[in-house]
Amino acid sequence: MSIMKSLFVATALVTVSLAAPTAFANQSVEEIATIKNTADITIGLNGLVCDFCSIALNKTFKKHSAVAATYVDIDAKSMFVVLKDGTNMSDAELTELVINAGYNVAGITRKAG
Amino acid sequence: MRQTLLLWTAIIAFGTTALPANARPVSYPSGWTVMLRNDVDMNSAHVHYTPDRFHSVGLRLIYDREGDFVYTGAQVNRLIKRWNKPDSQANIYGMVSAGLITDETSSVFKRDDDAGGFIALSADWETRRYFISASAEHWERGRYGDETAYHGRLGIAPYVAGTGALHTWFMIEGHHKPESDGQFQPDKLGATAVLRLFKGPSLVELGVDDRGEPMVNYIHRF
Repeated sequence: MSIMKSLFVATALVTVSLAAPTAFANQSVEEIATIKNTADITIGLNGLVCDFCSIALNKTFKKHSAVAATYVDIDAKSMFVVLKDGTNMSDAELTELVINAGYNVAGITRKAG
Repeated sequence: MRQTLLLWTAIIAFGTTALPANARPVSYPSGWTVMLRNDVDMNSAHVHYTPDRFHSVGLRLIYDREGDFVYTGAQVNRLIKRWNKPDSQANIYGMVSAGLITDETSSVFKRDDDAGGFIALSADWETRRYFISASAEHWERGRYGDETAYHGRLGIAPYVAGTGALHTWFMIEGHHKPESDGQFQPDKLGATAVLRLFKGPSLVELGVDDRGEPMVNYIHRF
């Protein structure tokens, strides 16, 4: 087997082995319901057309120190954000994160009280 | 009849669109992506890292079956423009790569290594139901021969899948290689039927081209 063929086989095997544990690691129905019910912020989104979009948004937001949990609902074109106790995020911060992930904000609503 | 069908497919694909099989060459900041494409013409692997929302940088490996050579190069992808709409997204990307081409033949007439590279422009438009893409690329490969190629895709999802669900797409991909001689390089104009399955960070494509040859692609975002 040539070096090139070996490289392709190795790349494919490494990719699949790394990908397998995460490919089906969806959030549970209970977890999703909890995030939606307790979300401090709901962000309306433009450009949300596939699951790669939701992954980009989740990973970008989860790096922020104030974010406890997120869920992106493609059907609702919205992202639900649960903040850690005692923290807050401004509209400007939220908008910057959304743009950084590659999307646009259609609207921001916050939990009353 | 088959040629007419193929021609119409290509005209529809190229006339209304632009992008190759491996769409979205720029991910989210700090994201890694692996893209593998395997068809009768080549095996291709592209691993890239996205430092910011406009760029990705990575390694590109291609084994060209027809020419029996290997291209190993660095590749930079740039998101030139994105349109985010309530129900759709459209993108224009630029790609450039430079590297080394090495001969894989085992004959005594083995060719010397040569520098090579390509420049490409692609565009796509996508809703949750429809997908259109097209691209143009030009290769400079020294003694291994230059090449220009055009690709186009049309896709439709039989159902609209939600977050975390299995997304399914039926697609038709067309390509046009004007420099092919149509005799020893018979793939001047070609088409591939593609089934795309997409769940979470993983995307698999299974296809068969107009010569009956298989295609298997895989993309994973980390």
